[in-house]
Amino acid sequence: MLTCVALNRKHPWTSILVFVAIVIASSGLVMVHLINQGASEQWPDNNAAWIAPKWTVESSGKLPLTREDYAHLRRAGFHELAAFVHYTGPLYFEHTGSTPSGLSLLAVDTAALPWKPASFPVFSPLSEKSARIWAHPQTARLIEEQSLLTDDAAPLPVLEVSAASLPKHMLVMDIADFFTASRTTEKYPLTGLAVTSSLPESRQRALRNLLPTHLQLKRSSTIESGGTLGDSFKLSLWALGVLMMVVCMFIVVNALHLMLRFRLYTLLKLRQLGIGVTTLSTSVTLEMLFLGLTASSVGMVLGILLTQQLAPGINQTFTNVLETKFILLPINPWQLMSITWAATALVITAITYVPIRQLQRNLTGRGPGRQRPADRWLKGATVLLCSSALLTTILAKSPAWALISIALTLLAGTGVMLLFMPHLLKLCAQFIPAGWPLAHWSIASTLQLSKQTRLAVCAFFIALTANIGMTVMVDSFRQATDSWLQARIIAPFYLAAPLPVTEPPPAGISLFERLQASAIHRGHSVELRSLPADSRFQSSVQIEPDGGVDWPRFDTGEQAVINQQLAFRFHLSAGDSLPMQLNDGTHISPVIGGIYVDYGNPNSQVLLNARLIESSRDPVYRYAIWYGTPATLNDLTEWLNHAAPGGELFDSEALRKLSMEEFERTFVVTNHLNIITLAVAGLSFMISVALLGQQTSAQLSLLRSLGVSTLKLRLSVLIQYGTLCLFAALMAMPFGLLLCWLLINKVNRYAFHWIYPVSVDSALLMQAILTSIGIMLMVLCIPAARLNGRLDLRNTRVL
Amino acid sequence: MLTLHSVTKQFPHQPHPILNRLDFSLPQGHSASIQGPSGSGKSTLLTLIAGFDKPDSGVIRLNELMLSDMDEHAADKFRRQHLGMVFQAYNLLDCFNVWDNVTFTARLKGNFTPNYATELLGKLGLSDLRLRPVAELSGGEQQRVAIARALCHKPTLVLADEPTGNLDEETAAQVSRHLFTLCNQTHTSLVVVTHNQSVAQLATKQWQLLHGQLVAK
Repeated sequence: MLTCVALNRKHPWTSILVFVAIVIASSGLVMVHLINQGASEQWPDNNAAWIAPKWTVESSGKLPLTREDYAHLRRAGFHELAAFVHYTGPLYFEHTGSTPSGLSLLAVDTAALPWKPASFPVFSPLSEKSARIWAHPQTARLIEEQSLLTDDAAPLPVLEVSAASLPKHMLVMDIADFFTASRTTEKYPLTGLAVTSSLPESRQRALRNLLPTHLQLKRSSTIESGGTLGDSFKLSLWALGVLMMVVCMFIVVNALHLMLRFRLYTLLKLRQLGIGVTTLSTSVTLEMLFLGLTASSVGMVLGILLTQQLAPGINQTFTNVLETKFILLPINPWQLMSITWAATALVITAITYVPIRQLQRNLTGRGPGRQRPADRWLKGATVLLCSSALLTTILAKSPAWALISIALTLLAGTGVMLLFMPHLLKLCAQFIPAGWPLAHWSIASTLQLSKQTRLAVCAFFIALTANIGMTVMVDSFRQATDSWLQARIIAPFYLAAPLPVTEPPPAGISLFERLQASAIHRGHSVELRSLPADSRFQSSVQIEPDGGVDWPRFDTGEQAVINQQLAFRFHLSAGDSLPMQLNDGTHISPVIGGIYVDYGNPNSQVLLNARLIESSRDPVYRYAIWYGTPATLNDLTEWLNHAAPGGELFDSEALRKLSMEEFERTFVVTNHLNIITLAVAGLSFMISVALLGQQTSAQLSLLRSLGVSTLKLRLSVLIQYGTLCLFAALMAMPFGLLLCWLLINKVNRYAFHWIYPVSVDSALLMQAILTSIGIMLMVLCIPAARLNGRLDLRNTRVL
Repeated sequence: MLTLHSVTKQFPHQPHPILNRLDFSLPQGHSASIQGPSGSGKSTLLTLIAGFDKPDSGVIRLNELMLSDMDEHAADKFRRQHLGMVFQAYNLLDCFNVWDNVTFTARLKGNFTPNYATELLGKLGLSDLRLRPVAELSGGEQQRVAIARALCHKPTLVLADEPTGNLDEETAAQVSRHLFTLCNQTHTSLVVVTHNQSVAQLATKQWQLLHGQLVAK
């Protein structure tokens, strides 16, 4: 052990490399764990998670949920429960008797709500006697000052406060104000108890144990789409986490390999002095475990700090893509430490095994001199990995299997690269003119370098493959979204009005209303959107494959078109019927006329004729507007001022720009993680070549002795590194494209239920490759610049 | 003609100069062997002649070239153009095969002629090994490759630092015979630093390095 300590003092870089590699790996693990934990406890993006709780306590059907049950559970310490009544009966305007369509009422125990951010409506404290009802501003305008009645003719409190964070179809009030002489708990029993904060498994178990037999803890179905997306986000994050883990694994193994390589001579001397192989191996393993546990503790702290820094960015992604909020939960350091330590100890023990075995072989004298069947082993492993990758790709029908196929493809790629790299380098060497001996040496020694830095090259290859794959995927998505936006946003203006526009437009202005509603198909929530019977709208819908929609039948309501997400979720295709239950209870069953692409929309959506959803439409008023001779833009705005007061007018270009800006924001986290992975791989490569540089210094000294100048030598070394990176990049290119295909056609297909065409922009591809090589070369300039130009004849003796 | 005049070299923290006003001359095409105890300054002397380092004082000249005054760039050029080196540990470029190693210096200098390289390989008995990776060769074969490399670019001077130090007696005799014969045939000056008396005896003139001075034997 003392010798190990002394060796650490002599070659601190090798231990530092291992330390850094473990710190990076464990901080990555902690970050992924914390982010995923937060993602599991996401909240709908309305600052009012209680509206759509993830968990609810509800009656199992035999007996109703009572106030006593509620009080009993709260007294038992479950303060995260808030009672609510979801009134789904009709609501009437007191004066007119008319019914505002699509409105529902939620009465909740506001005193039990745990937190109220600034934008959240401030519910009336109990001391304040005036009852209130809250609604979205648009809904509030619809109700105005009118009083609403429930089906028993009991009036609801007058609307006083509006909050943008509430859903448009929902009115919210305090449960104490809901119950009156006529609205009793007997008539309107509690619908459930909403769990208003996170509910860890241990807490779930405790709650289940406490519940009387007539109550059950249910995972709510009301946030189905959000929950699915949370899982999808977790999936993609785990994908990146796994990617980083694979890269870090290579880095740690590489670091270990280098460390043991440096120690071999000393350990051999110790062996000659009579110290047993087992003692030496045990000392090295114990040292590694010590290093691992120390580094993982540092990594844990770093991971926590980084997660806290990243939280706003992740939140932005959640808000943009998932329409939910990311919550960074309170951190339990002991739990986190035990996870990190256990993972590190496990991984260190597993990955130390191979280098230790090699060390043991070398120490017992069985290693050197005997030709290792490494190539045969590599060929066998590569064939096996390629076959497995192919098989899992063909058979993958779920996100988990898609990720497994990606991991196998990456590993198969490293095998193929390691097999082909020597042949490519030899081929390259043949094309170097005889008059360029130094270039010839650079390429020839690159082959050696590639063997010595094999693991670091693998890490770089994986990072680069992932970078290419992600870049092409994001760009394909960008292009698909852009063309989709170009096709879908066809009108020059769009109007979001608080109330229906009833006034007929003047000549030259045409107004098309886009109705919105929701329905249930096979227990799954589906968005409904009307599509006007106009060729401009119908041709803007990108049906894939082209054609197939019988638009006259669509206009009569016989047919509908569905988005890819819905089609993939339920394996629907054109010609199938689509039975749905609308909000007002009516059933429709149009025939699917075609499937359209709907990038960026996580929800299932159906486009159909307006008459089918008129009765159950949401109180949302969206219009597409064209204007032309004789009307001018001034005429349009003037008309809108009185026809749609309070309405917001968007021009199509601004809308497209806004959408694309949101798109770019969505990939901020992914892009950053990508670059971090690449930088980590670059760092590992740099330390590897810096360490190996000590071994190759004799060769370089020899070249100096043969008359090669220091500058040329540095350039040659940089060419070596560059060639290695370039060839790794060339090999990474096809695998990056394959990865992109897998991400789109497997991960996106099964996690997000959409696919889009892979579009390869050669300029962007080259940019990604050159940027990656550029980053690597910038990092590798350091060891190249540190090359000692001084000549020492004695140095060449160690050759 | 290689001439060293009053060359002095002292390393920091050492009480005495390792080379002290040393004088030496070697006519073109002649050979010299230098012997001496370990630490006497033999390798330092070669280092100064090769232009790896500069003397504290004195002059080193090879024909018209003033080696002791050359800057780094000129020293690099000198080594490329005029110098061949043979090392104790062979010091071959292990990523190359025999042919690439042998022709490397000639290609670097720009006077590569395949026929001459083939002839050298033939004379050194390496014709059959030309495409073999050097790592697969025996010590004697590797040193013969090193000799071929040192001569392939037709240098004016060859410096050999313990060229037989890693070889057995029989192989050492064979290798040194090759070295001296080829230098003689190509009219190349040769300076050999060695502990081996039988190798030293092959040189035109034998020297002993003692107390920083060369003494003729």
